[in-house]
Amino acid sequence: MEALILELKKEIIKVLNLEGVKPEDIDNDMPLFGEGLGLDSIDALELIVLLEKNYGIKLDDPGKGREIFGSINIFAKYISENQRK
Amino acid sequence: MAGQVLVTGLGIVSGIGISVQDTLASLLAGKSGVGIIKYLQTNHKDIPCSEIQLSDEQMCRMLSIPDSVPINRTSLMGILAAKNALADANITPNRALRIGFISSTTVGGMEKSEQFYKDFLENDTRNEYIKIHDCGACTEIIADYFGGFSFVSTISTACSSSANAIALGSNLIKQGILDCVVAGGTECLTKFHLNGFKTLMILDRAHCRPFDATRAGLNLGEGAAYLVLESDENVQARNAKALCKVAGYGNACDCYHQTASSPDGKGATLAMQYALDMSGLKPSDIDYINAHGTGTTNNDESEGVAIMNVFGNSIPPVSSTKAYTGHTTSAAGSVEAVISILAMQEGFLPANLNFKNQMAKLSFTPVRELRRNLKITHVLSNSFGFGGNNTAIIFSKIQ
Amino acid sequence: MELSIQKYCTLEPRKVSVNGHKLVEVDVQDSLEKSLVQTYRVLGLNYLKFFKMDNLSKLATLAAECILKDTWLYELTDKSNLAVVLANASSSLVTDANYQRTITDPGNYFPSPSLFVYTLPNITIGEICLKHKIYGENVFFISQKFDANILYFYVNELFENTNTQQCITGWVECNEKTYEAFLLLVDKGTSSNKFEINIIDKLYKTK
Repeated sequence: MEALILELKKEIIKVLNLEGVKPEDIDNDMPLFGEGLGLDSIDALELIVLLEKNYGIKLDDPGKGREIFGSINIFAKYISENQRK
Repeated sequence: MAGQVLVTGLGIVSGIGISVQDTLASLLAGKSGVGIIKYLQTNHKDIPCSEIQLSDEQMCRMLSIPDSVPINRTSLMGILAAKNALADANITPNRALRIGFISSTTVGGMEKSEQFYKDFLENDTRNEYIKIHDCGACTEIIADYFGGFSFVSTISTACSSSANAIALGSNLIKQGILDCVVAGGTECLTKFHLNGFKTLMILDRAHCRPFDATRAGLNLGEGAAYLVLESDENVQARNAKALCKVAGYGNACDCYHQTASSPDGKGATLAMQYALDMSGLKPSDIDYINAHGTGTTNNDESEGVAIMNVFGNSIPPVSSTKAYTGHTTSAAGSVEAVISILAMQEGFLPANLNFKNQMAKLSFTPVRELRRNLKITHVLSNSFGFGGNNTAIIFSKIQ
Repeated sequence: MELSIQKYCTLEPRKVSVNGHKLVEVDVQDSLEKSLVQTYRVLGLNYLKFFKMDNLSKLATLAAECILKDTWLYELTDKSNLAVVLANASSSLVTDANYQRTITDPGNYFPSPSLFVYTLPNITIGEICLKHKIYGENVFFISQKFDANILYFYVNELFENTNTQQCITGWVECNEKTYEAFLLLVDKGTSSNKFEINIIDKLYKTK
C-alpha cells in the first residue's frame, strides 16, 4: 500500500501539473478537493482518466469521483480493491 | 426608423431540415433530428447526435462544386445556409453594395484533418486540406463561393460565437461601416469534440431533456445558419421586405470556470440585462425566451437562476430547442436566432421536448407542448460559451 | 468619441516591456513553456492555477498581469465595465494538436479533459477574467495577422454603445515556434497615445 500511495501522489502531481508540490507535501488524509490540495472539477475528470489508464478501472459516473478522490488513503484503498491492470 | 438593424433573410441547415421551410415543419411537428450517428466516422455509435442528413458529396452536387476542389463539411454547410439566406433576402453580394460576411466556427476543417492526419504526417497526398483547416479559411471558402463581400471576418468564442457574429454585424451597420452583413456560423461534428465533450462527462447517452430535474447532459449536433442584416436605409432603397429587427444584444463574462457556469448565473444575468437595456424594453415585454438550455445539470440551473434574476415575477414562456437540433456549438447562436424569428413570425412557441420533472430550484416550467396562434412581438435568445462568454440577443417585430 | 491608450505591454520569449521600456529580463530557455514559467517567476506572480493552463492561456495571464499591475483597475472589485477584446492567428492550435494526440492511437486512447478545456481561444479570455474578476463584454477574433482595424472599430463601438469604460485589447498569439502578446489598456482619459489605427500600428511595429 505504501508503494501505491507514493506512486499515486507522483502521478497526481504529474498529470495535474501541480508545480512545486512534492509527494511529502500531500498528507494521506488531507482533502484533495476544495481546501487541502484545492483540486477542481476538471482535475476530477483527469483523475477518472488516470484510474482507467493506469489501473484499468472505468468510472462512468462523475458523481462517484468525489467520494473516491476524498483523500489519498481513500483513493489508494479504492484502487487496491478494484484494480484490473 | 434611422439607425435600426433589420433582418431581411434567413438561412439554416441542421438535423431538422436543410431549409427554413423544413425547419419550421419539424418544429411544428415536434420532430427531432437527434439519433444514431450516420455520417461521422466514429466508433461512438451509442452517443445520440443530430446530423444534417446530407453527405459531403451530396452537398457538393447541390452547390455544383467539382470533386477536384478540396473542401470540408463545415464550409459546405455554411455555403448552403448562406445561399439560402441570400436568396431569402433577394441579395447578390457585390462590391457596389457595402456587404460583409461574419462567420463563426470552432472546428473549421478539423473533420477532414482528423481523417487525413496520418497522411499529413506520412505523405503529401492530402496537403491541400491543411490549408483549409483553420477557422478563417472556412469563412473565406464560404465568402469566395459568392464573391462580392468587401469585409470578411471570423469570430471564435465557442458556443456564443454565431450570436456574437450577429452582434458584430449589427455594430458594423450601426457604425455606418457596412450596409449589409451576412452573419452567423457553421459547425460540423468531429471526433475531436465528440471525444472532448465525452471526457468532460456532459453528454447524455439518451435523448437530452433540457430543464428536466433528471437531465443528464447534452446531445451534440451540427448545423449552419445565417441572418442577412441590413440598415433600414438600404432596405428602403431597394424596397426589400424586413422580417424583424435586431432590437438589442448584450455580452458579459461569467467569470467562474473554463467550462461550467456560475451558480448565481451572473454572466447570463448581465448579458440579458444589457440586451434589454439596449432595446429599451422591459422584462415584461419579452414574449418568448429561446434558452441556451443544453440539458446539462450545470447550465440549466445557472441559466434558470439568471432568468429568474432578470424576469422576477414576469417570466415569459421559456423553451430550449436543443432537443430538436442538438447543441450545434458555434452555430447554436444563429441556428437558434433563426428558430426564434420563425417562432415570432409564425406565432408559435416551440415545445421544450422531453420535459417531465420540474426542477425544484426554478420558479418556471418550460413550454411543455407546442402552442400556436399567439401574438409574439419580442423574443430573446441566449447563447453561452465555454470561457464564460455569455450573449443574449433580442429580435422584435417591426411596428 | 476620443479614446486613449493608457498603457501598453509586450511579451515575447526574451522580452517583457511596458510602454516601450523593458520591465524584466528573462533568460533564454529551451522551450516556450519554460520561458513562460520563467517569466511568471521573474514577475513574482503567485497564482497556482497558472501551471494547469496551456501556453496560450499562460501567455494571456502574464500579459494581463503586466497591463493591469500598478493601475487603479488592479484592485477594483467591480470590473463589469472592463471589456476584453483579443485576437490571434493560430487560435488554440498548439493545444488542439496536443489534445488530438490523446485520441489518435486507438491502442492508447485517453482523451484528456484538462487539454480539451483549452482547445478554444476564448478560454484565454475566460482565464484573464477569472483571475481579475472581469465581468465586461469579451470577444476573440481570428485573423491572419495583427489587424489594428478590427480592434479599433470594435473597441470604439463598445465605448459608444455599451457601458464599457475601459478595455483591454490586443494580440495574443502562441504557436509551435514562438509567442507574442501585445496588449493595450484603453479608456476615455487623456494620454500621449490616442487610440487611433496609425498609432496602434506604430506601437505594434516598434514594440
